[in-house]
Amino acid sequence: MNYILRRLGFYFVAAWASITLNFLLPRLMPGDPADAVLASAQGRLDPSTIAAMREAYGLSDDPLLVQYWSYLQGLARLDFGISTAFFPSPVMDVVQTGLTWTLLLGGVATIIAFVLGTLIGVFSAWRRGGIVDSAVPPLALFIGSFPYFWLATVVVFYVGFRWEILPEAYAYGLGLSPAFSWQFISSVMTHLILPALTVVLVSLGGWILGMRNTMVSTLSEDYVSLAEAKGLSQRRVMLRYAARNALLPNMTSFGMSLGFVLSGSLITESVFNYPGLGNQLVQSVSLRDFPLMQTLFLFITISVLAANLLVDLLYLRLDPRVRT
Amino acid sequence: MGNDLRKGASDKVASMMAAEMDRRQVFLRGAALGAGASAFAATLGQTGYKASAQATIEGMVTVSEQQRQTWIRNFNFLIPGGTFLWPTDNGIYEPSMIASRITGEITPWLAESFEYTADNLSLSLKYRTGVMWSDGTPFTAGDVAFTFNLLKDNAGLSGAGGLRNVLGITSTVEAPDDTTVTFTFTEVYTPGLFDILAQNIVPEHIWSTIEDPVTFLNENPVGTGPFTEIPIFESNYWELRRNPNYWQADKIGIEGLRFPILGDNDTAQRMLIGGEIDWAGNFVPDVENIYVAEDPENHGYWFPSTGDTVHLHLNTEAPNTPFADVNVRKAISQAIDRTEIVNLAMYDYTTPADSTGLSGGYPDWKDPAHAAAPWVTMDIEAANAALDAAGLVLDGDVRTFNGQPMEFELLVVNGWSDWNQAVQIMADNFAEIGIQATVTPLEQTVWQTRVQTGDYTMSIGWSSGGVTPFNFYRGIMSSQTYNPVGTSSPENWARFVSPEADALLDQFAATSDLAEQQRISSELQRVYAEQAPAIPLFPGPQWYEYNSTRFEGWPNEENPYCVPSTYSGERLLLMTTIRTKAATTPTT
Amino acid sequence: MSTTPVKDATLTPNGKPLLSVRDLRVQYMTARAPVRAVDGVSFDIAPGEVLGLAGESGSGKSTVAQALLRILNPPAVIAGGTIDFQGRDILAMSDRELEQFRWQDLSMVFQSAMNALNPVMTVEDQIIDTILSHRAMNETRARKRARELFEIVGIDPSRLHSYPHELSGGMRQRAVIAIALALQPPMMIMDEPTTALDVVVQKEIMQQIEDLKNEMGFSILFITHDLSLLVEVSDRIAIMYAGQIVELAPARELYERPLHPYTQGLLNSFPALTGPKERVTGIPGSPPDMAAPPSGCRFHPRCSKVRGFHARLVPPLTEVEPGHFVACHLYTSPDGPPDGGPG
Ligand SMILES: Nc1ncnc2c1ncn2[C@@H]1O[C@H](COP(=O)(O)OP(=O)(O)OP(=O)(O)O)[C@@H](O)[C@H]1O
Ligand SMILES: [Mg+2]
Repeated sequence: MNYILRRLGFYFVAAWASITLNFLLPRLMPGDPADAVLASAQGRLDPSTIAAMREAYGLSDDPLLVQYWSYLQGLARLDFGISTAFFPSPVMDVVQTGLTWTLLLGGVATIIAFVLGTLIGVFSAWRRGGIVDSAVPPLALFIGSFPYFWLATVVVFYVGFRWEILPEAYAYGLGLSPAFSWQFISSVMTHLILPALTVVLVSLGGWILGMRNTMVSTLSEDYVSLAEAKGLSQRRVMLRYAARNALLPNMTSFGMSLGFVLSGSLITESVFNYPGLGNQLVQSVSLRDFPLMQTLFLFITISVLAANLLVDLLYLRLDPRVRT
Repeated sequence: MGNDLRKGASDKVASMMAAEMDRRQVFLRGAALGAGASAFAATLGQTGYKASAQATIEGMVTVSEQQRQTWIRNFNFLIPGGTFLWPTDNGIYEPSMIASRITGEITPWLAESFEYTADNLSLSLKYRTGVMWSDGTPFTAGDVAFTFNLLKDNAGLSGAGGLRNVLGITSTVEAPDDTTVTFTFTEVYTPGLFDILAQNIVPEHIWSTIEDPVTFLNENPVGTGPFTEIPIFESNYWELRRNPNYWQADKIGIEGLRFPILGDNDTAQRMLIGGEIDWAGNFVPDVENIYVAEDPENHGYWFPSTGDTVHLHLNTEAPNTPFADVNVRKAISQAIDRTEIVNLAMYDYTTPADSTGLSGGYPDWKDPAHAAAPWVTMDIEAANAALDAAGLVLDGDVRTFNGQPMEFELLVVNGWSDWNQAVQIMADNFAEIGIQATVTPLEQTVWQTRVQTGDYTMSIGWSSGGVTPFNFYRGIMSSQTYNPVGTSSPENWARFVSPEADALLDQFAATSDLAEQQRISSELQRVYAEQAPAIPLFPGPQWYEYNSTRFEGWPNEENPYCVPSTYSGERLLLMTTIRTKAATTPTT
Repeated sequence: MSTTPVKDATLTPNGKPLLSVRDLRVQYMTARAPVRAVDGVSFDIAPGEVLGLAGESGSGKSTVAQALLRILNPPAVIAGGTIDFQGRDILAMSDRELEQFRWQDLSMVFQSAMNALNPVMTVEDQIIDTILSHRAMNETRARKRARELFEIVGIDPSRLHSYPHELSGGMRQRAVIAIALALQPPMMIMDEPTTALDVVVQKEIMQQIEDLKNEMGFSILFITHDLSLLVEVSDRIAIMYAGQIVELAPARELYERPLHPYTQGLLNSFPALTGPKERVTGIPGSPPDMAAPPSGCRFHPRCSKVRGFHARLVPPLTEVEPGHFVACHLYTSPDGPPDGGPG
């Protein structure tokens, strides 16, 4: 358990560093959120209005340490300040509307792509030169080589807009309210299909290739030969001995992908008008909503750390060698 | 992109939309290819933008106005920055009167009449009886007085247009009885009338209990407007339905308004083309082919040029520039090919500006006598002659001033493609008169700071506007809006002051006699045409598309009863005119 | 002195062989050219016999072993020959038959115990999955059997739940042997079971193998390049050079009277396990490139007794004395080419 303590310590320090940077950066930059709003109001705001707004944003002239302390207290309460684009709504209220959807879309797409790609990679390597191996990986790589944006736009246009086979926008049907009802859940699922599908399509090739490569080198390991020699079933040799070990190096990339789910679905969300954090990030940049932007960046950083922690824990479970 | 012209102060999505431009191109090309494929249309699933499965949406007008990634409940329209939901003001809440920029008419709304005292130092307004707040409480003049005092007491709240200037010279706002409100002023300033009339009114019985109105979200608004009820509010969709207590119930021909999330201009446009939007305020390129042609019967648009006029600002106080010389300014103006700008940068959605600088938003004010000065018509020869006469001799390809070559930066906001295209054309034009302009795109905040503090020589930019030409001329040639280079100046970026205009503006602000004001306005136009304080390029068109499949009574060129854009302050006129078509089958 | 061609020879000393390999050819189909790692190998193993297989590194010993179990990895292909095990042709077996045959009839101790164990499974799981896939036995019984096996190979059964990396090198090797014993097969292949271990552990394990063999009576194909070790444990010894068997003889005989210059060189390069330490001479030159092996006698470039025709003619494996086979012109045509051509 020494290992896990060490890792936890590392993540704690990393999280603290990013939280502190998040605090310092905007304060080291010239200007403040009021300036951003000032710019968007095309300079027609009264000076007294600006002063009052500065106050409303909670911008203070307290010593940095005092500000830092109240910033940390705010974080503990999940209080990330006030959004300027949605003033005076708290940033967290804005983020909340997108968080679930990004996690759902990114999570589902990443997991499906990973699982599917890994299975195909395992099988391709196992039957090297077979039908699957000669057809699927090249095809997946070919599809993956399309510019994602183009692919997604084509899908939106034909499947969603022209043929109206599946919804091409939103996380669920307009007019529905979140509820534990079949109507709502099925709506969420049908709305998930197209955006998730496009992500899976373009990322599948990478997973297949990654898994196929590690699998091929694992297959020449002695313990795989021994397993075969022992007369174990093909399935058991392939999965329990070869794939199980080949999976380990790929877990790290899986963790990274999971970690970047928050930021990675930017284009997907934008093309499919999916109400996630990626869209919010684009919006916060264009509206110069610095508090929202900062919070999103913090979320992204923390999610990368969390995903890596998750992978570390998974490793702990999957690889007995790291346990000691 | 054209969107920035759309709605002066509150348009912040412009730069984001610029990024969408490429995508739209892809999409539109796809649209052309896919027309045939639509025959395969299947209806296996409920498509994204299709109607709600729960409530009936018959009689609900689908609107494309705000482009947000998520809806957040905020109906406090008194806070600055336009972060509240549309249409909180001039929708849920109402003004005293509505002055139309297209008809020039003033429509009494909550107020029935106004009257200045002879010295113009006091104004009294008469309000209707029988108006109710949506919660059933009667509306009174007390609510009006409360609203203005609330604004006066809270610097963090912004008022309609230039209201904060008016509040600065307002000593009291009182309601002596339930139908009368009296303003007293410390100095005479009659143009403030329109800011007062346009201010929307909030209910005292609700807002008087609010501790801090600047951070108040007003999640459950109580207004006097035609639509006040919010039966559903989700982050991707909300509805605004009829006020059960509306005082002009007989004028309401629709059930309400509905707002699907429209993340960006591309999405909005796709829905518009698909016939799912009834009322939009979007920039659409090549609107005839892209939108109207889809359904010529029902798809309509109208882009009245009532927005503020876009100008080329020449900093008269920039070192080593000859811009203080009126003849140089006029010569530069004569070099500009406005027809090409309007054609290429603006898709011919507007017209070249005239020599009054006034847009189409001043029908009762513009004096044709001053509209056709020669310096707004392209004439390279005359321009060169004038510059020669001004002593700016050519040295090779470039003229010199005080021995310095006339090589200047021409500032523009990065990503605003219509402006970028316009400055590119101008830079080419200027080369023909020996001025080398380097187009310099800047981030909006940076650009803003530079033009406001006078750290520039040439820049494209907007101008001020209002119901009367007063604000426009005050903002472009008055000592009251002048700030020296180095001091931030929200208006008058050219740092131009005309003593003659100053006097005229003072006269204008001192009278409440409309005929007198119009006479003075003519004089101001003369001064502008003589002085060319800034170089007018084109009036900003107002974007407006409608779909008459389900609703009728839309304003258009044949029936121009108000400025029709969603973001227009006159939208209540539209909302209380359109009605559901009688024979309409339920919408999908 | 008879010169019986190899195909007709009885390579077993007496009785019916357990395993009979004839003319086995394995090639690694590399991009450059096929590497003929095993090129016409024939031998028999009698029940209970220990056949030693020795040769320099890269001579093809492990390839032979893997071919016997048909666990060669791509790009290796079996290009020819037959492998007969108790009357069944291993090379003709279907996947199902093969699964049955493996371990049940022929098990193997891998060259490197470190790599032979699955790092993410406990040793116990790696034993019982072998048992369970061949025997109709419940898990509890299989676990009991695993304990027995650990006791047999001399590891504390409490270590059964360990992962491979938690065991010492010696224990790992014993665990691998335990796995090989799991089904009590009539024959085992031991591919350098002790090379990676220090001398003391090496000795212990060799002793263990001896004891087990004596107790259980299985045949062993014992592979090593350590000839002196082989002499101790083997009944007969085969010497491989460049994919071919160049000498095959009873252990003592080979040790005392090596015929092939290569064998002589090999014997010189190892100090005897017992007895006085001699100077290690070794064999000059390096093993040939198997993608393009030397013509004629493959050893001729390194042979001190080489004659011109050795480069042209392949010496057949010939029984020069009863039970002593050698493939060397010195014994089959000492006076020149058999056709009497120029030497
Ligand atoms: N995957 C491969 N591709 C190409 N050639 C190979 C491959 N594996 C083995 N070889 C070649 O086959 C020959 C025999 O290899 P093998 O492993 O059977 O030798 P060995 O006698 O067991 O050697 P060692 O004593 O080092 O274990 C070698 O020359 C080697 O270069
Ligand atoms: Mg080997």
